[in-house]
Amino acid sequence: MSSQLALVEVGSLPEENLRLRDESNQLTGAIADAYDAILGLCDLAQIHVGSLQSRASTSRVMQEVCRLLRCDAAVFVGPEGTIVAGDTGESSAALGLALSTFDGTRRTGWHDHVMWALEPVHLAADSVVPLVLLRNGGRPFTSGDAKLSEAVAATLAGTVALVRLHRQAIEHAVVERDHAVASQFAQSVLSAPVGVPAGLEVFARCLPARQAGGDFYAVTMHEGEMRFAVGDVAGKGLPAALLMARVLSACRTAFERSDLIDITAMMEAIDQTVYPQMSEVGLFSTLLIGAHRPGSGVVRICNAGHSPAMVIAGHMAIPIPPGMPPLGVLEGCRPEEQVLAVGPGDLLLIGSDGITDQTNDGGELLGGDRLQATVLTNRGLGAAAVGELIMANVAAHAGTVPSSDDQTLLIVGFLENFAPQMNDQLQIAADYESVREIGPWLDQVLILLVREADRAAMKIRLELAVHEVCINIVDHAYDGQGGWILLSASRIGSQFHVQVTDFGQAYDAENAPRATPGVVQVRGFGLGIVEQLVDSLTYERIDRLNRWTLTIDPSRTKGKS
Amino acid sequence: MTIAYLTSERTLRIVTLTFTGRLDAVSSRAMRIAFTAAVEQGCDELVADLSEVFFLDSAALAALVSAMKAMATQGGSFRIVPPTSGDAMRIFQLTRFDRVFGIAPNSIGR
Repeated sequence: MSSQLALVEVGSLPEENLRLRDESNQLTGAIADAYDAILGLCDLAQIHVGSLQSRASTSRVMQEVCRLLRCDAAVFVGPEGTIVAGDTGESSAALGLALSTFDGTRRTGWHDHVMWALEPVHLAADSVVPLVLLRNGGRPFTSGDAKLSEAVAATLAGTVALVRLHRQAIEHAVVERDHAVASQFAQSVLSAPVGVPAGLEVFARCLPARQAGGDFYAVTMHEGEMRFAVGDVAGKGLPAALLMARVLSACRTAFERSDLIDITAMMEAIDQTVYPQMSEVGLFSTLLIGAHRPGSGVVRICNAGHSPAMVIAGHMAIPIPPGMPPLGVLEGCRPEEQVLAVGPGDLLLIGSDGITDQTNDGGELLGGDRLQATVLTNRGLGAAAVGELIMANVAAHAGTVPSSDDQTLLIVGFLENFAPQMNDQLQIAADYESVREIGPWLDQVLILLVREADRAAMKIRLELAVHEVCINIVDHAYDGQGGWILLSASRIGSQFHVQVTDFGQAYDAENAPRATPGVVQVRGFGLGIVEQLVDSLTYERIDRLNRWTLTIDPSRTKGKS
Repeated sequence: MTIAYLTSERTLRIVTLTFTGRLDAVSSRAMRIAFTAAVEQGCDELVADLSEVFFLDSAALAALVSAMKAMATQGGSFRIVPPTSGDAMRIFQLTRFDRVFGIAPNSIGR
C-alpha cells in the first residue's frame, strides 16, 4: 500500500519561494514515507500466522519488510533456512559481504552500488540471526530507516516465535488427537456381555476419561462357564490404550482355550503373553479374572493386584484381596486361586480406581467405603440397578470435576439356586445333616469319572474319607457355627482327586488332636482315618480359605481298598 | 438308625443296644444318649450290636469309646457285635479298635 498526495502547483515564484517549495515537498515526502511506514507496520502486524504455513508466514513478512524499507531485496537467515524477498541478482556480493560481518549488532555498508544494512533479529536469549536489507543505486539507509528496520526485526522475531508456537500447538494437538482416537478405538472393542445364562445378571460399563486410560473388561461364555476379566493398565493415552488392547486380547484368548480349565492356568497364560512387552516399556496392569459355572454356587477368582473387588453376601461385603502382584511387575509369579461361595441375591463387584478415586469440588475422594455402602444398601435391586446407581453416584459426587481416570464397573448378580447342576461340584452347608449328601454325590461323580471296575472300591474309601474331612471342618474350621463347604471332583490320568474347600478357621496341625491307632481315646480319629483311606491328603491355607485335597490312584496297590 | 434295648439277668445284667443303618455325626448324639441311659440304669455289661450298621464314622466311634470308658469306670464291660458290612467294619480296622473292643456273639440276647 502507498500514499498518493497531491502537491499544490505554485507556478513561478521568487528564489526564496522555490526553496520553501522544495522544503515543503521534502517534508510532504517525509510525511508520506512515515505514513507508508505506519501502514506497512500495520500490514506486518495483521499477517495471520495461524492461517499460513510457517515458512509462508515469514516470507509474507519479508515481502512487507522489503516494501516498507524500500529495499530491492531482503534476506533473513532464520532457524528454518534462508528466506529471500525481492531480487538479489545484482547484490549477491554485497549480501555475502554483509553476512560475513555479522556479529549480532546493527551494521551498514556498501559494495559497488549496493547499500546494505544488517539488522540483528533476537529470536531467543541466546539466538540472534541476521536480517539483511539491500538497496541498489546507492540509496543509503538513514537513521529513520534504522528505526524502521529495528521495528521490523522485532516483528520478524515475533513472527518466528508465533510460527514456532503455532507449529508446536498443532503438533501437540495432532498427537493428542491421535492418542484420543487410539484410546477410543481400543476401548471400542469393549463389547456388552452377550449370552449371559439364565440365573445370572451382568452389569458392565467403562467410561473413558478425557484422556483415556487403560481400563478394560471382558465377559465371555465358554462351554457353559462364564469367564470374566477387569483390568487397568497403568498410565494414560496411547501407550496405555495399546497395552490395554494387548492384555484384553490375551484374556480373550485364554478364556477360549479349552485346555485351560484352571483359573490360575489362564492367568499364567495371560501373564506369559503380556509380560515381555510390559517389561520392555516399563508399564504394568492390574487384572482380576474369574470363572463361574451356573449352578455351582462358587466363583473362582484370580486377582493380580486389582481393586476394588468384593462379594456382597447378605449383609456382608467381603473384599477379594490380591493373590499376586500386577502383571508386568515380576516375571513368572505363581497365581493363587480364590474360591468364593455365592448364593441367590449375592453380588460380585469389580471396579476400577477411577470410581473410588473420583474427587468432588472440595478434592474429596468418593472412596471405597461409600462404594461399599451404596452396594450394601441397594443390593436387593440387582446387578443392573446397583450398577446404574453407582455410576450415577460417582457422577453426582464429581459434580463439575472431570474424571481424571477411566471408570469401569462389572457387577455379576447371582440369581440361581444352590442346587448343583454339575455332578463334579457340590456345595453343602457346614452341618452334620448336610454332610450326608456326600455319598449320593460321589455315586454320580464316580459314574462320570471312574471306570466301573474301580467304582465300588473307590466309593468305600472316598465316602468315609471325604466325610471325615467335612466333619472336621464342621467341628473345627467353623466351630459348629455353620458356613459352607465346597466339594469338587476331578480325574487326571489315573488319579482321582476330591477337593474340599471351606472358609473357616485355618487348620492348626500342631494343636489338632491326633489319635494313635489302637489307643483308647475319644478325639482325633478323623484325619488319621482319612490318611489311612487315601493315597494322598494335602492341606493348604489360601488367603481366607482352607483346601483339602484327597487323592486316590486305583492303579496303585496299597491294599487300602 | 434304630435302637433296640434287651436285658438279660440270668447271671449278669447285660444291656444290649442294637443300632442299624448309618452311624455318623448326626446319629452319634442319639447313641450317646442311649449309652448314658443304659450306664445310669446300671448293668454289668453293655453290648452295642452293630451288625446291621452299614456306615460308621469317627463320631460314632468316639461314642463307642465314651461308652466303653463309662462302663470301665463302673467296673463293667463293654463289647460290640461287629458290623457285618465290610465297609462299616473298615473303620475299626483302620483305627485298630477291632483289637480294643471286646467282640460279642452276633446272636446274643436274641
